[in-house]
Amino acid sequence: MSQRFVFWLSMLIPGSGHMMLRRLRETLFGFSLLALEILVYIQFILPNFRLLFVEQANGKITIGLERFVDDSFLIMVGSTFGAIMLLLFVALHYAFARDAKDVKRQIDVNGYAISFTEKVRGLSHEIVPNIITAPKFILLFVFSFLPAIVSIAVAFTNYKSPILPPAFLLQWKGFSNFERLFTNERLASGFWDTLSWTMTWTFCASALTIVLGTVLAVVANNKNIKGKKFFRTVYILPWAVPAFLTILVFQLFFSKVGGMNTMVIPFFTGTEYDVSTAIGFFLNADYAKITIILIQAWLGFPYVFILVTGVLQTIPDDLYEASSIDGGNAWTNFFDITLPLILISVAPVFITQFTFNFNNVTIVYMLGEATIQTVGAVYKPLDTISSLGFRLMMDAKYSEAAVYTLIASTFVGAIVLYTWLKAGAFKNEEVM
Amino acid sequence: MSKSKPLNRNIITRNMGTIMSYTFLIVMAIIIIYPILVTIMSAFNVSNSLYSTSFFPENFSWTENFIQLFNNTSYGSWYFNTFVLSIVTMILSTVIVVISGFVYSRYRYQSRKTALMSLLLIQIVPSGSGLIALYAMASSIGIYSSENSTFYTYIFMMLIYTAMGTTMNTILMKGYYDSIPRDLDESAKIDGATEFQIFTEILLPLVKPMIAVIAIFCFLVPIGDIIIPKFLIASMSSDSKTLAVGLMGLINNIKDSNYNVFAAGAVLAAIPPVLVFYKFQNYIVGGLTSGGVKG
Repeated sequence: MSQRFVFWLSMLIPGSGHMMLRRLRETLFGFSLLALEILVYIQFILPNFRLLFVEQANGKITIGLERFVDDSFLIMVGSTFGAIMLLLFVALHYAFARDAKDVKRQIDVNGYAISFTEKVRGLSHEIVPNIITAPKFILLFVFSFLPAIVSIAVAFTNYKSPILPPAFLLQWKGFSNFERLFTNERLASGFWDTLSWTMTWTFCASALTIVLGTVLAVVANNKNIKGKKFFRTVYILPWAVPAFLTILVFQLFFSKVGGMNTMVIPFFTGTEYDVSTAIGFFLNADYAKITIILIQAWLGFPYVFILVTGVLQTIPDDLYEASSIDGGNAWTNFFDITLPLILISVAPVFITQFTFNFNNVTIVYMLGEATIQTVGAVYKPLDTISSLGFRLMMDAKYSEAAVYTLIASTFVGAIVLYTWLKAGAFKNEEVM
Repeated sequence: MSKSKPLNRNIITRNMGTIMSYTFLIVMAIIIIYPILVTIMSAFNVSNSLYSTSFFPENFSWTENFIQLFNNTSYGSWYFNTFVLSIVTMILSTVIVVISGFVYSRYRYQSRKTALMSLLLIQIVPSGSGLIALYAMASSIGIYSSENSTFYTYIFMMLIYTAMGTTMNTILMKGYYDSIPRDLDESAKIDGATEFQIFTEILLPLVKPMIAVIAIFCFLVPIGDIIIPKFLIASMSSDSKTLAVGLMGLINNIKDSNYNVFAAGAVLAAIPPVLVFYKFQNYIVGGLTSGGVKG
């Protein structure tokens, strides 16, 4: 009986390896685990899996067999949960197998193995931290991970109003939801328009935010400027006020009856305010696009401002003194000392800003409510990929929404993962 | 005379940069403050017309709009709902983050790295991506058909926010614990302190600043969020909305109220977060520069 034999036997039937080695308590644990597994398998996993792909008489593949009896959505959640439980069982089998192998090795080498109680005592420092942090992982699993996986599955079904379970059975559609975006002429043109606007919006909003925040920080932190505290207090105001409030205020401000039309434009042009000639900034697609970028810059720049202010305060004065001895002036100081140091710290911010704005549903959705969908257009002018994921969901077009959400999440996830891998975040001892 | 002229010009050219800087800073300050002031002013303006062309209230009243706000809308319950949700979320997530940050920083165990890595990875998943499933889950377990549907929905939302708030914040918190030398724990251990005493009596007082930052972040998220409540409580009665959803309804449904009433609601809603923000400004800036992520 080799170590490998004990390992694979335990992998197959937990506790059996321990039984061969005459370890009573581990054997009992292993067998009760197996009993539990079989119970879960028969009671939960199998019924769900069996209903996950049902071929109906008309050849369509549905989730669940009968309307009103099977809730397709519950089956989908149950199957996902079941699949994860299967993985968990495999992990537990592996733990048993490794332990059995270890016991066998100890017996081979020493002639005896440490007792069960001793082993548990030795393991307590492994178990305690896991138990303390378990509630958090359960929360994350139920409210973050599981919904994300199920939402991916929704993208491959026909889940949308009025096909709502349990009154209807959901149907598997394969990749056709995705194909439609490219093959259906109307949807395709809508998709490409949305994609190009999403890119424009993400890039312009991020760039403007960063440039504005950086320039303001550099100017406000100049030695000759008095009242730094006042400017700083004012400039972080947009960050202190919750964004949804500011967005609503701006929606009003740029409307036909808002302050922009009634006060600001008359002040600069000298003409009287008149409702009939007032500009509806959100009623024209181009104006709306420019306005939303400006508003996002207004909302977002304080973060960059504070960050760059922090960087500027860490630049030692010696550098500037040394430069002035070498004949440097204000310009060379700025371009050769200040700017490079700022750029180093702002470069990562560009990525966080980029992903943030790409995913920024709040402002796009809220201001999008004020815009008008032009006749013949598939989507509203301000819709981005991520906001469409949300708006279609509000309209109960779940499968279409899931497609857009999946595209957006994949894109953002790939960028974040790539930058982290490049920055070595996973190897970094400080993070880990 | 002949000498003073170039001197004058010299002063101006030398100060040109400063003057332009001030102009730029002041113009920006006006752009920031103006929309906010317009809103505050219209909160105290009582008028029947749809718009107002003057900056200062034409018909000033301290209370009129606020009285209308509370009488004609369910503003009171929106306010109550939102802040109870925020405070409970804040307490729950801060407790979880503070304890698990301690565990990740001070315990060395096999699955620690895996746990931290999975936190980083889960964090990539955009928070809105699971909403479809969350909604369907909520309706499958009968939240919407139960008698206390509002209460259960809020519990559900609280758990979502708590889950969201415990990923990056835990890593931030762990980093802050790491900055406190372990020698401190070691010497306390030699003096006979238990793990629990080390945590409560030595480390907790030292990490207070970071606890404040995380509490504030977790407090501000539910107040500012409109996505999750908009979707989950869309079909519910007016009383059960949050501030964000309620105020958005006010502005898009102008028949029921006027803009001045909306402005009054916006001013009242902004006060608590702005006060919290300015009170703890230094903590927030500190937390941010130590690696906080907020867009």
